[in-house]
Amino acid sequence: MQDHETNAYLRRPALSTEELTAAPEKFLDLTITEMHSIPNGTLQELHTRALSEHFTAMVERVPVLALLAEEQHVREISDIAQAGPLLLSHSVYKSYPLSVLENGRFDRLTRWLDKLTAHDLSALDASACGSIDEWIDFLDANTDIRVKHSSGTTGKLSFVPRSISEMDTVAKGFMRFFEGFGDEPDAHLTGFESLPIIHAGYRHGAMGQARLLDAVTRYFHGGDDSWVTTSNPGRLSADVLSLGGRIKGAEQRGELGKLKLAPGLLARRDAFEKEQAQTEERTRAFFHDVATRLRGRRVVISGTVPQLVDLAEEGGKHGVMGAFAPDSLVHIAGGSKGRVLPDGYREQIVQFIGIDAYPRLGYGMTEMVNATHRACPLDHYHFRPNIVPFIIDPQTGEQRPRKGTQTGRFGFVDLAVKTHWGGFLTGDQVTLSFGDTPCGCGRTGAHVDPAIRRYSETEGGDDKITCAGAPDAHNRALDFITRVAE
Amino acid sequence: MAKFNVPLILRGKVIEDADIEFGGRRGGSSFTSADVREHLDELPLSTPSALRDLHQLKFDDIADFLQEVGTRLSFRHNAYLQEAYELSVTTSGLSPQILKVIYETLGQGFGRSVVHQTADKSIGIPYLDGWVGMKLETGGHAWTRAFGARAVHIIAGNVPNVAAMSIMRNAVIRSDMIVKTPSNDPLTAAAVARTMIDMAPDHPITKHLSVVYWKGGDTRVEEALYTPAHVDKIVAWGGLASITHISKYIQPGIDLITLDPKLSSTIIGKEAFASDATMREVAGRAAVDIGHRNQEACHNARVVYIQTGTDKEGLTKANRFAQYLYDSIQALPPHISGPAVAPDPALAEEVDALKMSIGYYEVVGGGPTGAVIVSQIDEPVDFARLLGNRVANLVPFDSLETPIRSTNAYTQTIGIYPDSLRMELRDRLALHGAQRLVSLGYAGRFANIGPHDGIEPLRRMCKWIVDEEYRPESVALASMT
Repeated sequence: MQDHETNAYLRRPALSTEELTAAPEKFLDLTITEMHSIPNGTLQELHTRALSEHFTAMVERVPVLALLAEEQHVREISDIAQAGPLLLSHSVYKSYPLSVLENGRFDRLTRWLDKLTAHDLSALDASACGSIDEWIDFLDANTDIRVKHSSGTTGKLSFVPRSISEMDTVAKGFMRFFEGFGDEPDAHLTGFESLPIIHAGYRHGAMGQARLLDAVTRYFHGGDDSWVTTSNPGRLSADVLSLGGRIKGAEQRGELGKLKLAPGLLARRDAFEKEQAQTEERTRAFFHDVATRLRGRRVVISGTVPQLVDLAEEGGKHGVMGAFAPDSLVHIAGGSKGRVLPDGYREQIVQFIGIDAYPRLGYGMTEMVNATHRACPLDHYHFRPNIVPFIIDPQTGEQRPRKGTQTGRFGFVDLAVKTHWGGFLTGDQVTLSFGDTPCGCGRTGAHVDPAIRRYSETEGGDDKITCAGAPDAHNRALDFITRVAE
Repeated sequence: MAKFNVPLILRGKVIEDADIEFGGRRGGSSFTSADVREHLDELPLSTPSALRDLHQLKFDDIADFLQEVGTRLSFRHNAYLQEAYELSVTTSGLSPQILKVIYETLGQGFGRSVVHQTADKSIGIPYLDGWVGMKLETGGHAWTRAFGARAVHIIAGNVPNVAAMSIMRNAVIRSDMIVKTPSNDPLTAAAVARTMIDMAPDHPITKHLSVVYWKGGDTRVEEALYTPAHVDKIVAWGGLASITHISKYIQPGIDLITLDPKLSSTIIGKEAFASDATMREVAGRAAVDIGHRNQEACHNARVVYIQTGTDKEGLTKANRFAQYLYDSIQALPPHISGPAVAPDPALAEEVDALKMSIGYYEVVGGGPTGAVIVSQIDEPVDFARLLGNRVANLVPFDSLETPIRSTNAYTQTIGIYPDSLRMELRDRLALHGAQRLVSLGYAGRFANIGPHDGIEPLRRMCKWIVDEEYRPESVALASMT
């Protein structure tokens, strides 16, 4: 562990159990080797105490948690399993009426959000906001809240009230993605702060990827955005995404003619049009930058599988192949996101980036502070110790025993969350080992089998526009706005 | 779990091979069936002339035949019906108690009075029995007759009555019928057909009924069958995906009649909230429209508009009414309604999330026994399309424009209280798309008088043919008029 000195930006003193209990986000200050060497028994003890403290702190301040805890008769947590009934589904984070967005009632949306966060938003007057984007900017400017929104199945976006207090943890977690364990060749990651960051997607917006880039530049580069190069430097607009989802729904119901467009959105039509017209130019500029300034350099490159497939295809068209150094750090979030991928897509990505082999994928979700976990050499996903996992029976909602290997609906409490509850029930079916038998790779703690399915897929059909589908929906919506506004 | 074999019935011939296994709905019993692809040459009617035997019958012959079928569809004595029930118990969204009542009364739909009213009010018996003549104002004479056709019925399986009703209607109009059965009710239509075969194997109605299961979307079957050479009419029950799928076979010569899924609602006027006693009585009536047949049918109310007003006092009333309504739904007898048989996890999650919405919605109940959601604004929940499993959404309103404007082409039945309000609103609601208006509490009854989902399907299922006669001595040959 001689490399701690070179990781000076982590300023990591030795951490005691007390410190980790009081501030579990500090788990991300430990190296992967350290955090995944904590004996299971110690970790269970840590989780129990930290969960108890986190619950006590949040139940007073987060009304939704107070309500749920009351309904479930949970007054305190002295055992991890007690938090099982307190996991909130995705639906809770979009439990406002859609008409609030359609009619631009951002005062109401703020009051609704107030119930989900420990921050006090009661004095905030957002009534002047004319669009979701404006509302997000308003919150960014006037509060510590940094909402993250979903891509929106039906036009209704879910809003997770993240805050500034989690941003540094997000950045550290991203770096840890690339770090190996024990004797693995990449166990001693160095020089992360000197690598340009390439992202296949939009630079701005309030979805997970753009917020991640904000956090990384803030923590590692003092907010200097010149470290980041994205294929689209524009903003993935929450309004346009929401509209995209509503258009899809209206098309399916044959009600396209009935769709209401907020006046605020129509007013921005020219700006959207201009942005859309620039797409091609931006792609060209991006590949020019890659082919000249960034060519052959060691970089950090991130995206989902479909995003990177698209990038590799575009790269081929622009004559850019083997773009970066072979020891570049590649972050690929797993899952096809509902897309049918072309044959040989892995080779395509490998050749475009210029690496030797397709990297191990990551699993996680935007609801986690440390959104992705790279698979270990045995292809298991190991959660960072700030994640307390749960497996719930998808039919009965009963919690599965917290030992051995269990298959069911995955839930978790993220102890690195500071200003909201952080307990989520996902839509993923996973097979999870609770860590009583460690993985063959040597890492301690819970780990997940690579066969992960979304329940909506297993039950036939999923019309959710996922992260990767988001830009498509975005473009369709922009087309609609330009057509309809005449 | 028990295994069932679904017979392939081709115009009186029963094929009981078990070539293919199909999975049932909601993980219920799988079933086997003969592979219809091996019998494709026998599936369509050999020639349109083969419909002649049906057209030589008189309506009374048909009514007698159906009456006898109805008698033989006695649940206690009919083993085919018992088997259909056994399978339905594992695949249907209806409870065994409800299914039992439906199967016990299935034969009533073939009774003479029902059949007579259907034929008489939907078409007019003389038009079915022969040519109806008239003198033309411009000279000459003309006759009209409603002919049967070669029809495929792609039926729904949410309630077994759909199978029985379709067969009855088809017999009345003398069509050759191929029933494509649904995976959630693959045996009811077959049970009726086998009852006919046992009773009168050579009767023209028996000889013009085929019952077939294939997996919807099987192009080998559908491309062979859905051509104007074989089929005149396709009657399709089903959602957007299935209709979109079928529509690719539509071309001149094939008429597609769609009976798509509908949603029904309720409008309750301010009179209902005049006293506590009236509120309880009206809640009892609304509960029947919601809970009847476990809210699995198109006619079940899902969103209930209530004229309590949306001010504080109005919302208090609405929330009190919700409790009465919830209690009334819970009190419905088990042969009418019960806890969800096939709980929808997506719906349950939405309802649970609403409990956390704080301020916008109140929820009474929850879980598999049902719930009443009260919007605290004058809008339904965003997931109104998912409402089922005895979950209703009360929407308070101030102006009648709110429920009127929410009505659209997807609205089938609207139960209304009081009846004076029904009379006041019926033209407006019809213009907005409502297809049936009914006194509150009676959504589950149906007037068999022709219209269904805004069209007259029986008339559409017929081929309307005109025969004209002119004589040169009274109508000039080259006349322009």
